[in-house]
Amino acid sequence: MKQPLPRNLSYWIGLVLFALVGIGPASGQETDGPSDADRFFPRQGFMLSGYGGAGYNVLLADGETPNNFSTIFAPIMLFQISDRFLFEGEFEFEIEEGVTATDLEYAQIDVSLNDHFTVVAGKFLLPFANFSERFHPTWINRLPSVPAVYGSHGAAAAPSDPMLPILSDIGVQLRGAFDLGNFRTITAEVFVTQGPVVAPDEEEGADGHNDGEPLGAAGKRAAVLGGGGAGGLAFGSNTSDNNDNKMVGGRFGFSLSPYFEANVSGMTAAYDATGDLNFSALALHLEGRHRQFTLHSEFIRTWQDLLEEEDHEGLAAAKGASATGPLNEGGVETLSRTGYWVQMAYRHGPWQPVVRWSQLFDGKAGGETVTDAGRQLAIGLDYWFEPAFVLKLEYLINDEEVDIDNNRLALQLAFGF
Amino acid sequence: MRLLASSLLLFVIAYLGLANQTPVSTDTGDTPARADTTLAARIGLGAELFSRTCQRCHNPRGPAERTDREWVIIMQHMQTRANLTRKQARLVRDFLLASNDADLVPGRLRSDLETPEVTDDLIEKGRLVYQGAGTCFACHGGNLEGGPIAPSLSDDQWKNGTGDYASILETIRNGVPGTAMAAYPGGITDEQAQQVAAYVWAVSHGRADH
Repeated sequence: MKQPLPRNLSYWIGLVLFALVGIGPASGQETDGPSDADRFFPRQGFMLSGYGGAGYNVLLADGETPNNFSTIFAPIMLFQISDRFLFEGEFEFEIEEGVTATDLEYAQIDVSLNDHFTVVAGKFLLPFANFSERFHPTWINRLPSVPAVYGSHGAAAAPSDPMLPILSDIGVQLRGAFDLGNFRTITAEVFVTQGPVVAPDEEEGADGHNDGEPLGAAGKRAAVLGGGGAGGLAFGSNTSDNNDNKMVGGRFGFSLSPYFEANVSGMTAAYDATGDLNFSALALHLEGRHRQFTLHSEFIRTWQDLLEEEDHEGLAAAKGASATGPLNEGGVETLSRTGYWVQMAYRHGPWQPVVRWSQLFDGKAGGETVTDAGRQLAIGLDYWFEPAFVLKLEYLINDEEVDIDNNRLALQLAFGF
Repeated sequence: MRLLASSLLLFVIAYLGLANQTPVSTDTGDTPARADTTLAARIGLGAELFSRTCQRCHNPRGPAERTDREWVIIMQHMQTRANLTRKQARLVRDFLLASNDADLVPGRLRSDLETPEVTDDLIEKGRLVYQGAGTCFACHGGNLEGGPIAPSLSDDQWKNGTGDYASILETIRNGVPGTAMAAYPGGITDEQAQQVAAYVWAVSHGRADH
């Protein structure tokens, strides 16, 4: 039974509240507020940055997908709290093939500990390979499309079976950079994030895009292998984590000269409700520059545990039934996938021809082909009006066993601001 | 267990980082070091980092595109995104601020050396500096054809100066405020600046091939 507050206690609480609400602002008006010197974090400033673009994609073969305009707008907000603390966030609004997608790409606080280390907390682009974190913005990506190992992001075609989305997730990471002199550097990142979960609805979008969206056909076919139900993976945690197992990963990079850089990265996590099914990935990123030539490439390998011969409505449900034996020895198989992409570009004045080759190999689990191989050749020509304002023309040749012909022509006007 | 181990690892690394922490800087970016002797070196190093590091991912943006305050915030952002050390980020920032400051760059590094005669040897040395330490190729192109933030140097159209040897050398010595053209780009010496000027002059006047 609730006891009424003593009369005098109510009086004093009321007085304190009055003082806080009423007197506080009044005193602030008299003194113009605290000076920067009095603040724990003297605020330095705010600025708006970001990127955007508009494109038109032409499907060059008879197909169900009509030609489409597409557009993307991604404002980035930077709040400098002090010279050690920065908060940055990026929204992304995208309309592609008639679907409007909104996303919080990242929202993170950067804490510079010293000359070498920075802690990042919040939602951030994962330091896995380089494309997700550094190259996917439309004004940086030299082509309207993304490499075939990734899901669609911006414009043009996505492969039917992308290996990974543009990766961002919630957690914390520590970043380190060491200058060895003569432009030789060593960099390293380690991170802990929510990790992938079983996609809540694999039909919501198979484009491999950000948060909460499934990993495309790999997940669908995983479900097929398992006998039905949901089996796709979702990164970015639009839903809460489904287990106590967090994703752990890291990247180690080195640059022996200003013209060559390499890094290796990896991540691993359990993705089902009880933490028995694992997803792991490794990547090697290489890039080089020689005068006006640039070369970028990534080699990626993933491993995803799948339930075999299960009749379940979802992996979590299947795990719940494991007490009766369906997850005994031999009940889990690992889908192994390999893919890579290589891109070369040459800059001559405002013109920049670009060629990119992507290849996905058969994804196999237990000797069975689960995801099909695919090859993609992208030939592009860019015209740079300004350093961050470009018109991109691309001819995309897809050679996938599951699709008949979905070659595309894409035009994109992209800008960074 | 793995989470615990990861957390411990993060904590230990962060602790080690904090243990080595340098005193909190009062340099907020509005007041880059102004001592003449160190500023020249900082701007030179910052210019070289700017031309070599930024274009790993994207075209370098012109310094005049942003205000000083915006560059301060952007370079704090890029310190994290591009995995720069704080020192590297501040060198680039100081170069950008200096490039935006008309009073800061011109004349500061001027040399009193006599203008040399343009010889074949000078042109050849200039070619090496242009394609190497001077980082000129990064913005003006490997064939002097120009790029998105820098004009062509292979024809008779000049955005700055008249295009004669003295004018070209003047631009290299002083930079062009508000642009990525830093004084003594890449931190080259005055002797190297004369070599590059000779090379650019010779190519633009049809006296040498690029």
